[in-house]
Amino acid sequence: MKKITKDMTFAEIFENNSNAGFILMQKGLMCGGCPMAQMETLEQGCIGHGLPVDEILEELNKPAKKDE
Amino acid sequence: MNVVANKMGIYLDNAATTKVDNTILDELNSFSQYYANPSSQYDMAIKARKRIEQIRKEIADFINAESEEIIFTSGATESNNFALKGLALANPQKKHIITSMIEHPAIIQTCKALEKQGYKIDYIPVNEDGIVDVDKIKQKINTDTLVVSVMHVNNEIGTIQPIEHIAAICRQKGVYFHTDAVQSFRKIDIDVKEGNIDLMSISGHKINALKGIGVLYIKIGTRIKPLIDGGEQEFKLRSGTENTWGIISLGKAIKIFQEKEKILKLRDDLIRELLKIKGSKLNGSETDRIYNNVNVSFYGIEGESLMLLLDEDGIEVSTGSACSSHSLEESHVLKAINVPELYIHGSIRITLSNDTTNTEVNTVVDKIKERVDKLRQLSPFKLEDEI
Repeated sequence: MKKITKDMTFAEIFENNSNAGFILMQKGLMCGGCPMAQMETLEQGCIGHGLPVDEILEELNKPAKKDE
Repeated sequence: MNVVANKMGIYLDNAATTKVDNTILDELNSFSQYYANPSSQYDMAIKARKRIEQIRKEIADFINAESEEIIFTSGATESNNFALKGLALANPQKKHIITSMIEHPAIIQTCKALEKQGYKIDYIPVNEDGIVDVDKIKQKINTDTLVVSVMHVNNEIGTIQPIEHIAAICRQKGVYFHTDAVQSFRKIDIDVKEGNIDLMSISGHKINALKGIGVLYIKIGTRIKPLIDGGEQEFKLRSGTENTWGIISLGKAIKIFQEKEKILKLRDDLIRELLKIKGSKLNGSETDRIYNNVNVSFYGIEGESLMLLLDEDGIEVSTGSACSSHSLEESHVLKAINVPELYIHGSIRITLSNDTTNTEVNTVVDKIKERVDKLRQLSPFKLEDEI
């Protein structure tokens, strides 16, 4: 699994991490069901909603670490 | 004359607000020369005063109240604030209020404000249909309880609450009962005497009248203090020059016939067709539901996106999810009735009116099917995981 970075769009993140939709939902981001996910990056989304991007990024990369 | 020109005219957000009725606009036009302050003493003012008092009587008769029990306000938010805070001011020895978990923010936030002043508030849970737990209300009433406030019909899911049952308990226990009847007024017959209601909030713009007019019904003998001091209008309970036009619009609005059977049939058609979409769910009660409300959720999509796409199609509905706003709060009502997380975000509310047609309902069903399909193609939450 490719490492998730903050400049990836939500759509790219979903392609790389099948669990990402659920992780983001737990943070209150229902980006999985939103068409903006095709264009908006993780960083833009987090800034827009006032959420800590680095913390969420770490969470998104956790399964990748487990796989290695 | 059309006040609001909307793109395609499929307006289905009548729980948010309604179109001002043409007969009301005509009525306002015909009365426009009586612009005097109704508290003045000359002929034009006396005519305005007479008209206001005539409407006060008509509204009172409409709910089986007395004229002096009808207090005009700026709307239901003020009425709700006035009811709870006005009672609190007049009865400082009682510090406990009971309400439900699914009230409108005008009640919830008023309760939160009172909580900061030392009041204890019990927010009573509801079942999966959204019906408040009456036994729990009964258990919670104690000697310190000032008022029980439970809405008549919920604004999001349209659930009709057993207010007469709750009011009877309150009357028996000597506790005030207030209801926010914004979503039920003119849809469901209300008899405040028979129903043991002490205070009731009403809004004009939800029933085709102007925005900025509302009523708080206050039963004679209720110990309450005003929130707005000034010229002592409205039986010294709500100062401020009367909103003559708003009052005239409300007086006319209560006479507009509601095609309940027609709307109910269209609503049921809409629910039946929308539930044919895989991964859809009706929020709220199937039976104890106001006749113009539909609230459905679609698995794995975002309600606000669906709402915006429908807006492109010229269809105006509302959603409990607000992802574009800074706050990511889910609907407190859908949370209270335990809607699963992957449905809670994908909810839309459709509220019909006399103007809704069969053709509109069919168009809406087709467009929703198309838009839900499109959004699901983009969603990482796959329907197969749900079904």
